[in-house]
Amino acid sequence: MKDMEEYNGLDFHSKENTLEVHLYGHWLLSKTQPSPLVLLAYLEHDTSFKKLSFNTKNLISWDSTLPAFLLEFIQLALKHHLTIEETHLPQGVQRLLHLAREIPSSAMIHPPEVLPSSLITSIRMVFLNLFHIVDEIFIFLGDFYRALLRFFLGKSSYLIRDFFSLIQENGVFSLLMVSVISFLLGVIFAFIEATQLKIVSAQLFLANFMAISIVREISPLMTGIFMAGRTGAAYAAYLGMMQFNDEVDALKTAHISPVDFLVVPRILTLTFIMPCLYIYSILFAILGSASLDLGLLGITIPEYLTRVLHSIRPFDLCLGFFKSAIFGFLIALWGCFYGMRIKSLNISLGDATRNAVVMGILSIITMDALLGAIFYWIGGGGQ
Amino acid sequence: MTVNQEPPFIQAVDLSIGYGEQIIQRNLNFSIKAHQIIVIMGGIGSGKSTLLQTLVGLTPPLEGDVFYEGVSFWKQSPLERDNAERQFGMMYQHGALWNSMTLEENIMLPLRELANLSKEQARHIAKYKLTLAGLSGYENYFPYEVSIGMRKRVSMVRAMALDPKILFLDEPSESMDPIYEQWLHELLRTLRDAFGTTILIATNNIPMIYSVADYILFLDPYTQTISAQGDLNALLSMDKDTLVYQYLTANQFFQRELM
Repeated sequence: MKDMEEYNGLDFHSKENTLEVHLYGHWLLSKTQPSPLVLLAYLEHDTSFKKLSFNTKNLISWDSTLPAFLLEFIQLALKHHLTIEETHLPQGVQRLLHLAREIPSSAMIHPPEVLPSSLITSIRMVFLNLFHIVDEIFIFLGDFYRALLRFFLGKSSYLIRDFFSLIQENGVFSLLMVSVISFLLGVIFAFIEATQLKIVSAQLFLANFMAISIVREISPLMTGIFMAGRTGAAYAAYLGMMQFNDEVDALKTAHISPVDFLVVPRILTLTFIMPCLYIYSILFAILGSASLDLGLLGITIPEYLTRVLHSIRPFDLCLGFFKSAIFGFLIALWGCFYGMRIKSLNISLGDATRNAVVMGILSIITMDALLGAIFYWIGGGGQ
Repeated sequence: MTVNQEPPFIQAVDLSIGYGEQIIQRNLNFSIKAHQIIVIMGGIGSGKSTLLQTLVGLTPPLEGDVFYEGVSFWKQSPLERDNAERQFGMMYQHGALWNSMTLEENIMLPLRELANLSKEQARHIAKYKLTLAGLSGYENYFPYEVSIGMRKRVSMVRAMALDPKILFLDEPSESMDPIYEQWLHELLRTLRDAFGTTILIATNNIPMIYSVADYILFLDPYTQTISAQGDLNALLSMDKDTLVYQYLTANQFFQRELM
């Protein structure tokens, strides 16, 4: 009896053609439970049983573990064509078993049929998903360009104040971070270039090298990567939440195009903000670079500025300006795409945000490489 | 005549609830017996969910205290309160399932972390609980792949996973179909009778109140306090002008209109 108080479990007793299961001890979550499969091991030895009954004289206490065990145990017994006698089970257990088994069929929800998993179906699913994403991208682009046309024709619905608040949130509030990042990058790159130029005793050209690097690559690319993390993610998260809260559907039922109302203002403002941030970033990156260069070169500030201004060509500035606008467009496009398509792509908010950032950064770097190659080819890379 | 010396199972003393400067309900006083189903009803914004959150330890009271079996809940140390909270199960209004886990894993997590069950045992219990939710076969689905009604069913059985002493349910019948709702009433009564679970439900669902409530607390949105409490018969014998009477008989009036 002492054992029964400390342990829990079951014993099998046979009475003619009846298998009597003795449940004993504490059937609680805090105790280790036997597996319902013990029944199979017993029935393998003796197949003469016709009936299964229970004895609970030594059952001290129980919780959900007992009905959970019995539900599967009895199902196994039924598969072996045994008739079940449950009357000796505690009333509560009987009621819980009854509830689990007798849940009305109309209240049961059956999962949709899923294709059996195999290598071929897995590969097929990967391609189908890929096609689905590509399909969604084209639909989204189509919707966006139609909405853009409506915007320029003055036929779209939007709030003017959205433009100002988006410029404030994504432009003005980014200034501090852009200044810090640009200044520090200016210092870091100046240090690296100074070390290299010292080898060939060409430190005098440091200001020129830095100016070109900053204007053509460092500022547009670093501002782009920063904004992909900050604004691209924010767009995806904000629009994704709106989708989950059915706010986007509410716009549709109010006959307001969500693309007109939500997407166009976001993409246009970021396309406008990015070139502004680019110019701002150049100033701080050159300041950062100057803070190191002036000490190394021993020249005056006006001399330094003359070198810098002499090196920056209007073409480079236009190229950086143009690149920044495209980067802004791409970052906002991916952010809005993943936010607006969160339901049709069947992804979570975390996935949507991550994908928006990853695709944003990937697309701006790819675009940078492409534009670099194109402008070099048409002569912009030479003197 | 015998005097019961035992303290009430749950007792609120001069409890005021709200957020920051905003008081939603004040001077709440009630005593609840164990093994009962208690319904907290009241108008929109009357603080039903906030009261549940204060009782469960999520939102501190602005004034007053809650006592469980005579022990102060909010004046004890955070560690002691954490231990007391292990006796609670909570179902949230919008499900609050963990999106990164499957439905089965959602139920398994408390079983694995708090009851230290083996993976196999926890899976076994989770399967049984999903059967109770009418969602057998959905073990490997993620919450975002199923409907809000299904998420709420899972949320309910997750709250019941550890067979808590006290079960808090916030609007359990919302987004549920009427057949499952009827079945849910039977499940709640069975939990009360079989496990002796004390169940607190925040709802205005009249069929549910008539079907399961042993005791009702009515949070009045105008006077900002409990304007009526007692069993269903006691509240139905109140004056017909009272808000609680109008709430409890609103459906009957609607049915008469249809006829």
